[in-house]
Amino acid sequence: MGPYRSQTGALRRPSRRQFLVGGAGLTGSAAFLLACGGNNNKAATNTSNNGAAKPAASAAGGASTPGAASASTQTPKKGGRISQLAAITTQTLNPVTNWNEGTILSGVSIYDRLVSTRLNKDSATEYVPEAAASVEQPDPLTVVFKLRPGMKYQNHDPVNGRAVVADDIVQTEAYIKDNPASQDKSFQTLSMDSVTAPDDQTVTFKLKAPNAYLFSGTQLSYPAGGSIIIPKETLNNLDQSWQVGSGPYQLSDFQMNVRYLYKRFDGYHGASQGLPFADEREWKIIVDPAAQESAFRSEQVQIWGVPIPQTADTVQKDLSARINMQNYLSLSMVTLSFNVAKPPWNDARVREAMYRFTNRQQYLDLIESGRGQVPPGLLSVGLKDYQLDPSQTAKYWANDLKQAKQLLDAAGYDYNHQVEMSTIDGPRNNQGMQIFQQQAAQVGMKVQITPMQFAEWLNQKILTGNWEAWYSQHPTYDSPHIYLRLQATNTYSVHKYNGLKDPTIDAMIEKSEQTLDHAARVQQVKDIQLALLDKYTPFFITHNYTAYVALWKYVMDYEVNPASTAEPTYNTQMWLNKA
Amino acid sequence: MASATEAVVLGTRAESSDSRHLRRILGIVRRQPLGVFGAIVCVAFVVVAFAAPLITPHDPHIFVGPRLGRPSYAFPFGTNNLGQDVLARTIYGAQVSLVVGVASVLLGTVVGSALGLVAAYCGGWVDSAVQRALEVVASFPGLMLILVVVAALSRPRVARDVNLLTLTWELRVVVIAVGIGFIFATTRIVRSVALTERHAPYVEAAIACGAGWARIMWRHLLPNVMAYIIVGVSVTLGLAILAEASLSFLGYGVPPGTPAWGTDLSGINRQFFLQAPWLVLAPGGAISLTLLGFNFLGDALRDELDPRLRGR
Repeated sequence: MGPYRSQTGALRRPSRRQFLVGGAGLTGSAAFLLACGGNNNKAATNTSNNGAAKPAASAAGGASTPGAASASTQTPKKGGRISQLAAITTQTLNPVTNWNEGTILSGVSIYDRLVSTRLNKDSATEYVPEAAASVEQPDPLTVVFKLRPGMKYQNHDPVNGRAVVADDIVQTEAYIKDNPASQDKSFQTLSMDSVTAPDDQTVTFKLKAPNAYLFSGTQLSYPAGGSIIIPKETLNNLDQSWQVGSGPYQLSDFQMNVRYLYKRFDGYHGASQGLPFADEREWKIIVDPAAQESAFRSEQVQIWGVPIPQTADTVQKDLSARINMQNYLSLSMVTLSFNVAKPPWNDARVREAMYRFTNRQQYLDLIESGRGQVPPGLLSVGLKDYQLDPSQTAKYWANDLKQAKQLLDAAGYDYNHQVEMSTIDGPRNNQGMQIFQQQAAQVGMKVQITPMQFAEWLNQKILTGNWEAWYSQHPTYDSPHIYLRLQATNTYSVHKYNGLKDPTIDAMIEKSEQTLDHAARVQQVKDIQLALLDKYTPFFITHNYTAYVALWKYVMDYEVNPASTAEPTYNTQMWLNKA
Repeated sequence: MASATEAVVLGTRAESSDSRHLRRILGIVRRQPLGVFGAIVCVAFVVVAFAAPLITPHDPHIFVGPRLGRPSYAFPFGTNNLGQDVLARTIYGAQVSLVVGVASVLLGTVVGSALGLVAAYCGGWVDSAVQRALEVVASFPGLMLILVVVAALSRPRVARDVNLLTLTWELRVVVIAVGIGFIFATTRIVRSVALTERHAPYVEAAIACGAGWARIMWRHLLPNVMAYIIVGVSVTLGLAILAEASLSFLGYGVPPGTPAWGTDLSGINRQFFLQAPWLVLAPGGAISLTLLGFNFLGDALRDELDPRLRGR
């Protein structure tokens, strides 16, 4: 067991991030106490992408906000409305069962949470207490959160501004665990043994086993599950009832899938530091890229995740003096996936043939104009510590059409079979499917491609296992946890039929999840990747793309976050430098 | 001798018949130059669709050229974001338009004509039932009706390199969705004409001779409404092609990757229009030209076949 490497004492600019729970879950094997009490000292720990803890100041560039794209030295101005774009759809108002509600809308505006993840442009990770005044880990199986004193909910029925109590978190965790529609409850089912509230200010999690990724964006920091705080009175009607939380903003007005308007909540625990700076946050839901561009150019929105590099170039050229164009390597993985429960993908020779004819560089070149990177192994390039050496993996990715054909012939592949490949309808996904179709055609493999709407794809294909292949961009993950878990027999996810499902590798994955020593875990994760490649796993990343975010120059202290599909998370420190 | 004379007489008759046809055609050409232009476009459209594999310089699926390559000798219409030949895709796109256009109009015409004849001949509650049912269908906006049908029956899947028959089968959902929209219009036209013909002396005579209802409709009424049906077909073919293109443009038609004019105007291509305008010019031009052709042809046929307009 490695020692805890919690770092404290790095003074950060005043913000609600009073304590940074650095790499706690990743490195912790002994009790660790994050700065608590006194003046709520400004302590920080961060990890260079999901692992090695190091002082926040060195990773985050000293005094600036982690990942702040336009960190200013000016005093922030309060007020104004920040409008953003999102190309998303939701079915209900429930942040637990709707990914977009949880990770982009209410989950990061209206509802608070115990802890969250921040990443800077280099994907260095910070774990930031939000509603937690302190975090203790007396042993690897126990985590104790103390709530900030005086927290209260927004003044709306049925909560009416009452105090936040620890039992709300207990009830929320039970709700997430018991709800079959929860987007991700891997923490609650796989890791959490129990959660209790010894008193109104204390929440105690007992874990079934040590959790290497405990505070990561897929566990306690996961905005749509993790440690979200929802008033218990509203849990039985979250789909439809007015959203009430204790986060920085309160719901003011909305038209589902059209527009959401949030107004500052003065009772927010960061209000004493003036947070959030912007009076209002508005989300405009515009799916059409051309309409998005028009909305940005006309300043109807001030922040826009630009969908393709060429558009970013054009917009930057046209508006260069008036906007900032941020770009960073996204942690979002874009993957090919084949169902090993179905022939021919249960035959390793067919899978190897697929590796032989797959040219991952072509995906990057054609879809992203070459802007991004192809990982040497199986994990996103941004997860730097876990990357394999290209020399270790070159043999797996070698292109050889002749050998691919021989392998298919040896496997008795039926060339009349139409491989049915589906995806969530979108430019990146649709192009990727066409590229696979074309590459497969080089060896005589026929591929039929079907783009679908997300809900249709999820319900008809993913949840039922009635799929043969898919190509899709994923949400972004700040650790190897989800990718590796999706390879396992039990994924604890909606993607039950994904990955290789090899019992030997299952055991390796489980062991790595429980290994708190960073160096040991890094080696284990590398070994797992090689083991998966040896068996030609049917689930791998084609590339990681460079993401672009356009901001009007008066948008200050915008927080770049490679682990949030280009959308910032809380961003309470963002402000408008205009009259 | 008699037979020789007969042959001479018959020959003269045949000759005069041929020259009559020729004169008539020349007359049509003089009267309907735009109609002739439309007919040429339509014939060219059909030929291009059938001969696509023979006349395309490249496979429309293969990444043969540079990304977003400008029009050049090698790629007269340029290349798209994946390096596919836009000319090849435009030529192959005619297949989808032809298949959906012809099949859906056939569906709408056959069903609509049958319903129109039955409603007109039977009258009474049958007529009312048919009319009310179709009015319900017609109360939906056209494109919405198509979207509803596609959503209910699921979007089509299209394999690569299939022949036109297979393509028709794979696009059956689109064909049904577009075809349903034409049933109402065809039924109304056929019914209104058949209602007049229903009481014509030749129909009364057929009834008096004991002809059954099916025979009367098939042998007597249908030939007399055929001119209207033909005019309707020529007009609706263009509309069907436009409907398919609209459906594909909205992402509910053929899947991405399949060469189709509507699909190639949408999706990722839309994001390159400013940088690569040839992406929109080729499929957009093809749609416009084909529609223009069918409209001109339809107008000309109406002028020639509609007795009310004949001689104007």
